[in-house]
Amino acid sequence: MKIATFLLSLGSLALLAGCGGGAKYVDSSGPNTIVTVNEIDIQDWTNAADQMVQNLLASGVLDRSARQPAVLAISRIVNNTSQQVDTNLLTKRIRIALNQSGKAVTTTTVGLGGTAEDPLAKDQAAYEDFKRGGDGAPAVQPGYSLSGRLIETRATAGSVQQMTFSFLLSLTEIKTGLAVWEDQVDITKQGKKPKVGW
Amino acid sequence: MKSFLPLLFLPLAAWIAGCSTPTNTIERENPNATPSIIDSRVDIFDNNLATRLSLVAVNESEVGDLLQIQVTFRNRQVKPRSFAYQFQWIEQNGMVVQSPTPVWRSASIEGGQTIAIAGMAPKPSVVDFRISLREID
Repeated sequence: MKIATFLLSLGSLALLAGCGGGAKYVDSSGPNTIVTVNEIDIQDWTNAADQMVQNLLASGVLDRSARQPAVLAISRIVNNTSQQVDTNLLTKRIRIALNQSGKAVTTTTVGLGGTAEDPLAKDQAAYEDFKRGGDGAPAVQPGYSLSGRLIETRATAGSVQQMTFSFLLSLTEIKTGLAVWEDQVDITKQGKKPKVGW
Repeated sequence: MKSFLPLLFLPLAAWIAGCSTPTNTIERENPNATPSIIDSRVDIFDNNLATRLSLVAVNESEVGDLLQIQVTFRNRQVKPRSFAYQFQWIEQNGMVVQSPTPVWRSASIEGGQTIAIAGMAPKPSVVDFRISLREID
C-alpha cells in the first residue's frame, strides 16, 4: 500500500513538473502569452499595430495617393509612457503590413533630422544622383509622414491596478501638411499581478 | 434562524447581479442597411461557447481592392463574456497568408449584447477567410 501511495505521489509530481515551469514556445500574439498590468506586452504591440493597419487600409487614404504605391517616411513617435520601449515594435509591424498589402512602401533613406534608417543606401543614392548632375537628393520623395505618441493612464482601486496604453498615430500628407488619417487604439489591462494566458 | 437564511444569500445575489448587468438593444425595426450576407459554415468543438455566443450574420464588402469581413455575434446569456478571435486570410490557390502573421484579438460582450467584429484582408489577392474563436477568462 505504501509503495502504491509513493508511486502515485511520484506520478503526480511528474505530472506537475510537466505542466509547470518548463519552457515552451507560444504564439507571440496568442492567448497563451503572459499578460502584465504595467507593461506593454508583445501581444499589445501586435494588436495595436494590427488594428491601426486595418483602420488605415479601410480609410482608403492610401488608395487616393497620386503615386502608387504611396511612399511613407517614419517621423517621430514620442514615448510618454514610464517604460523604455522601442517604437519600432509598432511602426515596423505597420510597415510590413502596408508593404504586404501593396498599398505603401517606406523610404529608408529619408529620416527625421536627416538621419537615414539605411545610411549606405542614402549615400549610394546621393552618389548616383551626383553622377547624374543632381544635388544628391533622393530620387523618390515621400508623400506621407507617419508620426505618433504613446501614452499611459493609470488607475488603482484597492489592490487592483488598471493601466491604459494609448497608441496614437497620424499620417500627414507632406504636400499639404494635413493629417489625412488619424487613429487611436487604447489597450486597457486590469489586475493585481501578471498572469500566464488571457 | 431560518428567517435569517435568505439574508445570508442577499450579498451573494447582489454581487451576482452587480457583476452581470445585461444590456437591452434598440434598433430600427426595418434596417436601411443592405449588407452582403455570406453563407457560412461553423465547426463547433466548444459547445458551451456556441451556446453562449450565437452567430447572427457574416457579411462582406470591398474597400478598394481589399476584402472586408464583418461577423456579428449575440451573447445569449446574461453574464458578460470575453473571447479571443483570429482572422485567417486565404488566397485563390488555397494558401493561408502567413505574413503579416494572423493576430489573436480579444473582445468582450455584455449579456444580451450584439457586437460585430471586422477584419480587413491584408492583400488584394485574398479571396476567402476563416475565423477562429475561443472563450477566455
